[in-house]
Amino acid sequence: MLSLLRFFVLSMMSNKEQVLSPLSFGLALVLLIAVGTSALPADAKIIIYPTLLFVIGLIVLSWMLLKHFHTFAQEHTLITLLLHPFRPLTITCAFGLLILTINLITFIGLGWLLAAMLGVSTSLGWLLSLTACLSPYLLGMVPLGFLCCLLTTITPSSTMLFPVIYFPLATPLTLASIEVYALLWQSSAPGLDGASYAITGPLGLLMLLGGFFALLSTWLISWALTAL
Amino acid sequence: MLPSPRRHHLTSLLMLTGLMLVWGYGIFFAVAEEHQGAIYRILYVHVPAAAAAFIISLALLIQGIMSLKQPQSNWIFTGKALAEVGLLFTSLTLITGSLWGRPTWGVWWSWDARMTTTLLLALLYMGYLLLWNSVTHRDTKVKVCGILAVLIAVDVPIIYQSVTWWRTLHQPPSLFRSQGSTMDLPIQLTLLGCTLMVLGVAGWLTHVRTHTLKLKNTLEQQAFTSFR
Repeated sequence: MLSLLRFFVLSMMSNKEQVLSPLSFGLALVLLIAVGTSALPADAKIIIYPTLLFVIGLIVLSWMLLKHFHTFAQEHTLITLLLHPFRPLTITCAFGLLILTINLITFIGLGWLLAAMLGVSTSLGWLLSLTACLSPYLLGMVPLGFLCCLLTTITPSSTMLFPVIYFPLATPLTLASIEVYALLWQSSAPGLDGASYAITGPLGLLMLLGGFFALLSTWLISWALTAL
Repeated sequence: MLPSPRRHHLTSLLMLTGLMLVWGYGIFFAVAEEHQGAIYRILYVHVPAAAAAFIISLALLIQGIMSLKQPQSNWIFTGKALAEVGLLFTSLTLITGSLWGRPTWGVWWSWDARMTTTLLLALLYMGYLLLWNSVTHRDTKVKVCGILAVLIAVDVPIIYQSVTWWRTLHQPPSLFRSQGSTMDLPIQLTLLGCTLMVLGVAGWLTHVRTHTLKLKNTLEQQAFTSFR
C-alpha cells in the first residue's frame, strides 16, 4: 500500500501541471466569483457560496481524476500494476487516498478563502467541523469518480462521457454536502438571526450517502478493473 | 422469441387499445378530485410512467448483475432495450409533471429535489445508452454497462426519498405512507389499473426492442462473415 502510494505521488510529481492546473483554475474561479458577488447581501452569499464551492470542487476533482487516468491509460500503468501482485482494492485505496488528500486540502483552502471573504469566523474548531463535513463527501466522491473513470477510459470519447455519467451520480451526494456546508456557515455567520440550525440530520444523511457510495464503488471497481 | 407477425401485431394492438382505454377512463370519466379539479387527472399518466421508470431501473439492475455473471449471454441487448424504454418513461414523467406543475405551482419547472433527481435518472439512462454505443468490444461492453446499471438503480431510492430528505416543492408520498393513503379508493383503483397497463406496455416494448437488437446483431454478424 505504501509503495503504491509512493508510486502515485511520484507519478503526480512528474506531471506537476496536472495537479497545479486544476488548483489554479479553482482559485481563479473562487476569486472571480467572490469579487463579482461582493455587492450581494450576506444572507444571499451564504446560500450561493457553498453551492459555488462544491461546483468548483467537483470540476477540480473531475479534472484531476480524468487527467491522471488518461496518463495511466496511455502508459498502461493500471494494467502493469494489476499484473504485479497488487489487489484491485489496494490500488484503489492508494490512488483514492492521494486524490482524497489533495482535494481535502483544496476544499479546505478554498472554503476558508470564501468564508474569510464572507466574514465568517474561521476558528480552528470551525476548520475541524469543515473537515469532518468534507470527509464523508470526498470519501464517497473519490471512489465513485475512480469507478466512472474506469468505465469511460476505455471508450474513445472518455472526456465527453465521463461528466455525463459522473455528474448525475455525484449530484445527490453534492446536494447533501451543500446543505451541511451551508448550515455550518449559517451557524457561525455574523449578522444573521443566530438561530440554532439542526445540522445532525443533514450530516447523518451525508455520512450515509458518502459511506454507501464508497462501499458500492469500491466493490464495483474490482469488476471494472477486469474490463481493462 | 417473438410471436408470429400476426400475433405480434395483435398483441401490439391489444396493448395500445388497453392503454388508451385506461388513460381515456382516467382522463375523461374518473371521479373528480375535490381540491385540484380536473388537472389532477394527469396523475393517471404521471404516476404510472414514474412507476415504470423506477421498475425498469430495477430490471436494469437485475440485467446488470446477470450480464456480469453470464458475460456470454444475450442479456446485454435487454440492457439497451431497458435503458431506451426507461428513458422514454422518465421523459414522460418529467413532461407530465411539468404540465401539472404549471397550473398548480405556477411554474413549468422548479429545481426541486424530486424533479432534479428524476432528471438525473433520465441523464443516467442517456449515459447508459452513450456508453453502450461507445464501447465496441462485446466483453468490455457487458462489464461496463452492467456496472453502470447497478449505479443507475441506486438513484431510485434517492428519488423516492428526496421529498423527505430535502426541502421540496413536490408533495410527500400520497400512497405508501405510515398513516395510510391520502387518496380515495376509486382514485387508487383507477391508478392501479393505469399502472398495471403501463407496466405491461413497458414490458412489451422492452421485449420487442430486445428482439430487434438481437436480430440486428445476427444480421450484422452474417454480413461481416459473408464479407470476409
